[in-house]
Amino acid sequence: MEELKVVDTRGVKIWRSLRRDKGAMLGASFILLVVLMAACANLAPFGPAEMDWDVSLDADAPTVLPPSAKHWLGTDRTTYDVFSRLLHGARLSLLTGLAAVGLALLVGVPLGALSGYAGGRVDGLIMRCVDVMLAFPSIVLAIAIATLLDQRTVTTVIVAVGVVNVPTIARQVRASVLQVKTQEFVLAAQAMGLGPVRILARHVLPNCLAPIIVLSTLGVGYAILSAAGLNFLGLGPEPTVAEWGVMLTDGYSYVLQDQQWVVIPPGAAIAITVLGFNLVGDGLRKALDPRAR
Amino acid sequence: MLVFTLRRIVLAVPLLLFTSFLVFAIVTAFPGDPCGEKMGPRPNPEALQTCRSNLNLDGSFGERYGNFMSGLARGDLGRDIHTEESISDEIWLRFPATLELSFVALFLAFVIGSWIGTRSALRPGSWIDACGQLVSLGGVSIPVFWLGMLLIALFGVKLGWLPFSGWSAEEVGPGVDYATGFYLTESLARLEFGAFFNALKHLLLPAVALATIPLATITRMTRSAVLEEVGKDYVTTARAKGLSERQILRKHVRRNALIPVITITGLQLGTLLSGAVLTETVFSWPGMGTYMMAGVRSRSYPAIMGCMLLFVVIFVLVNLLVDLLYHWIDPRMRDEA
Repeated sequence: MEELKVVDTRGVKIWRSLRRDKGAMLGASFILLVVLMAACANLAPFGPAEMDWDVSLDADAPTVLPPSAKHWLGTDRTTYDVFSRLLHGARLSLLTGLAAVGLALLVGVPLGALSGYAGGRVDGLIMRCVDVMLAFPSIVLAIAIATLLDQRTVTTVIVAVGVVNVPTIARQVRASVLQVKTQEFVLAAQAMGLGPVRILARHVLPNCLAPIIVLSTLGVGYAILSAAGLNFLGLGPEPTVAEWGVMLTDGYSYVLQDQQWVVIPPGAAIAITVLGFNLVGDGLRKALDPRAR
Repeated sequence: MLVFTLRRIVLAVPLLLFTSFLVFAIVTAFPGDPCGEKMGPRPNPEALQTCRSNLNLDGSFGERYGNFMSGLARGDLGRDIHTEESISDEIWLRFPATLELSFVALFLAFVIGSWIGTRSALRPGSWIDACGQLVSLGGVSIPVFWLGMLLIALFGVKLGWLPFSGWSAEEVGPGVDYATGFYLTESLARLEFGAFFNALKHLLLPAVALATIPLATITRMTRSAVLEEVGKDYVTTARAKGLSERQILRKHVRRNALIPVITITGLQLGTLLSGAVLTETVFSWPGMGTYMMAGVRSRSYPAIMGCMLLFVVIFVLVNLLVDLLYHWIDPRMRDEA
């Protein structure tokens, strides 16, 4: 019970610091907006891949319609409603960002913890692998992984972006573990005869949480941006899927014909989502690490 | 210093070997049979064999890796599956376009970023500081390919001020007989100013889009570096000596503050070269990025391998150079080596 209280006061402190941070609050409201968009996707006037038959059956009418009362943000070339696709796209973007960072954490945290705690040869081996992966420009590695998986799906993009983020997470976790493992309470736990897994899970990692939380929050924004890039390059799902990067690829040809409404909403949506996670990540960094202020 | 330099260079060799192995392993593991797909359902056995040996698809993994490495040592990256052109020739044709684009973008980012960064550090909380924060947040949040589209829509299509595609000798400098692919540099060196400005016009939109990536980091770094320097004692001394604020800034603060900024700018070059993949696709820029993506689409594995290798080598070398430069500039770092 007492332990719970201690955690609580720390949480309250962090929350207060975040509340005072205007940037973080702005970022949080951006994220909230995107979450609302995702939650309301079912209420959208049209489905994510629903054609407007009134338009598509009329051979003379142009399929790309400017914004109107019926189609708030216009339609794309398949007569899909841009506004409805924007809402559905929010789900995919959040899913991609969170799942990619989740994957990177799932692999990166154990690797980094093992490397930092075991030291010696294990550490050397893991860190050399990390160096090799970091020698690749991230988008080049992501393109290679997506090509390797050879399936144009959301999962492909999640795996590609997730794997690319593993070395960054592993390196940060290793650095934090190295710092924490020299402290007395770890020595005490070792003296009590606890096994390495238990010490890592119960004593070391909980004390490394702050940098991991900051890195993960910033990572979600970065992952959404990278995923949009891969989708734009044509490595993501098919054009029928309502994904923001895919919508940008699809609308690109219309930019040249001076019809920008197809590309402005999805691009702005990506920018706002990524900005939201970046602002909250910066705020968390300031709240969790007093030295950063 | 010499020992440190040599040690760093020696350490980079195994890293390059491992990365080249990884490139080979990843591309070898790509699914599908590019030759079978190219030849159709009833292939001519001889042509199929030629295609397979051109692509280094025969033999065990070890043999193929041996072929790959011996080719690499000779500078031979294989032939394109469709055009049968030499990959290394094709890459050298496109590399100048990527390099000039990246350097112009980096130059723009450095000039604008260090100016905004310095101004916002001198007046924290002013409108220019707010601008700087907006720039550094926008740079990491706005998708570069979307920004490219907006630039095309506004300056290319709506206003019609600037061209947004076409980087070839005929379009850039008609009548100029270019010896290299460095159209901008070469036209300047030959004092062909008409062609130079024309090339600059073609470069401007993609370079501005690409510049936003390093601009964010450079602005942030300059701001914190200048903020740190203006609080130091030597600035007070300079002021007491009666130097004008302008002189203090130009002769003292900026020179000290820009050292870390220059290193960061250098480090961005590697990121930029690969960030060019997206920018090049938007502007149909005939560089390495579009070539690599064409390779992905047409399953020309040697082309993908060649581009990946070049990107990695540049990335590793730039990091190495920056590392060495840093130790050379800042003597305090040398003792640790």
